[in-house]
Amino acid sequence: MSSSETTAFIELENVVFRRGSRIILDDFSLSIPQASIAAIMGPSGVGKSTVLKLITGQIKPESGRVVVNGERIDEMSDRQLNQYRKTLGVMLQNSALFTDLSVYENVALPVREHTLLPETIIRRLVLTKLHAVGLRGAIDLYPRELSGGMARRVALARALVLDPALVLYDEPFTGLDPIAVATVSQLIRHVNAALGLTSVLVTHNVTQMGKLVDLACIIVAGKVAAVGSPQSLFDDKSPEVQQFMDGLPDGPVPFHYPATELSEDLLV
Amino acid sequence: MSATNQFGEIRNAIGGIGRGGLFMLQILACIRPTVKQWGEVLRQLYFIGTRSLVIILTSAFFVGMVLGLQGYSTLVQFGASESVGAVVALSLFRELGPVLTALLFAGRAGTSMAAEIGLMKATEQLDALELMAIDPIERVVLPKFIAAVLAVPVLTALFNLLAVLGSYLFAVEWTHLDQGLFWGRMQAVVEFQADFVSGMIKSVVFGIVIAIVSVFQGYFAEPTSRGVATATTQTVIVSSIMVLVLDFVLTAFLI
Repeated sequence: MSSSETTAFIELENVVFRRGSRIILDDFSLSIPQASIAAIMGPSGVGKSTVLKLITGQIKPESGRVVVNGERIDEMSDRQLNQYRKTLGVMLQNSALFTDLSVYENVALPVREHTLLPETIIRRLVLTKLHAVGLRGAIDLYPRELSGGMARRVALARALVLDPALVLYDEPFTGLDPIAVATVSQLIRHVNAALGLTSVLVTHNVTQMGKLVDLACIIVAGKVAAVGSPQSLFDDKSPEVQQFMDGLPDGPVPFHYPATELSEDLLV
Repeated sequence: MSATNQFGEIRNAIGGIGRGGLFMLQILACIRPTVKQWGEVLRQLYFIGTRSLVIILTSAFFVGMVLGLQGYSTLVQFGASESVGAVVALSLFRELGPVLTALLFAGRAGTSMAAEIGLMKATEQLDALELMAIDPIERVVLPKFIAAVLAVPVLTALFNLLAVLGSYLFAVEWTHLDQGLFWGRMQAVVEFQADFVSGMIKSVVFGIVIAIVSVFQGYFAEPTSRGVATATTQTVIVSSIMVLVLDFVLTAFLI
């Protein structure tokens, strides 16, 4: 699937974003088609989560445009952002489950807040989503009683409970065992196809990316180093892309944060 | 400390009060007459109240005993030991009840509120709420704020009650002071408006101060372990200083 052939659901155009004096995204542009699954990849600290935060409207770019479903996110008021976020499902990096609520109440929270559905319907909805992630039997547990992988699956159920138009996953496979990775991967694919929603994943998992997504983008030094189908990325001969796809420690993307020579520091 | 540093500290303190005031307006703007919101307020009131009850009642009882002991040992030298009830009640209702309750509440419930909100921030729970289009101020901060504002006057009244009982036990049961004289002198000297109500006005103000300091420190805490630790410490320091300063200001107006 190429972005030129289908309607773009998410568009970031010439986005510039800084943290203090450090530039995170530099003239960054990306287009994600509707009903697709897209992966944003790149070395740690390169600004992948920043892209998600721009899409959710948590941060605004210094310049450039962020458009989702035809609406300028970077120009929205707080009230408009609130309405927009009701159509979003977000799975955060560390799950962010509410520690004083049970698994059931965590998943039910968005439904209770945004709908007037009776308790019987809420229960069915929550149980369906928890069943899909294999945790229907864990409804009475509290987040402190869950493993990291289980917590991520509950967070996934919570992100999907209102059947959003757009789902954002920040590192969805981190901390999951191979069975859970396959299940979550299958679930993402299934809900995407069944509900026609658009999914954006931030991930380091090249293998899962290859199996799951329609479009992948690799960010290096605040810019798009490569974008296209997974196969096109595997075939890409540019050294930055090859280094990331093959997991090579040496290459154009430095492993070390900029510093003086080791000998200079050690011999002080 | 140089003059520039002192000026900077003062400017920060004034800026902090301003930011706290604006944050309070933001919280108050979230008040809705809904069962859901007030149900959560009641739940928080229960947690905050019960968390603080044991420490406040225990402290109150012994503060009352000590006041009875000190009052009796002084008054007996002037042949006025029957006034011990009145002296204890006046000290409690006007000053000690509201101030000690506020300080204990800041140490027990205030720190707990700041730490809870700070940890929710550090673990992205507040972000998660925002991303679910749920206002974290309305959902998390407001119920705790209102519950704290309501809890402090109630706890002050209970503090006063237990402290008076403590002094009664000492004066009447231990020193065998006539209980009619103990209660009679207290009733004759203590004025409901000037003593009891003015103390309760103080407790309402202290409740608002502790509530806003606690939720402000938690909400704006740096999202790290150290940030949460700093927020809880600052809650106690700022609340205590503000309570003591405001006690003087309010006393000057109410006396």
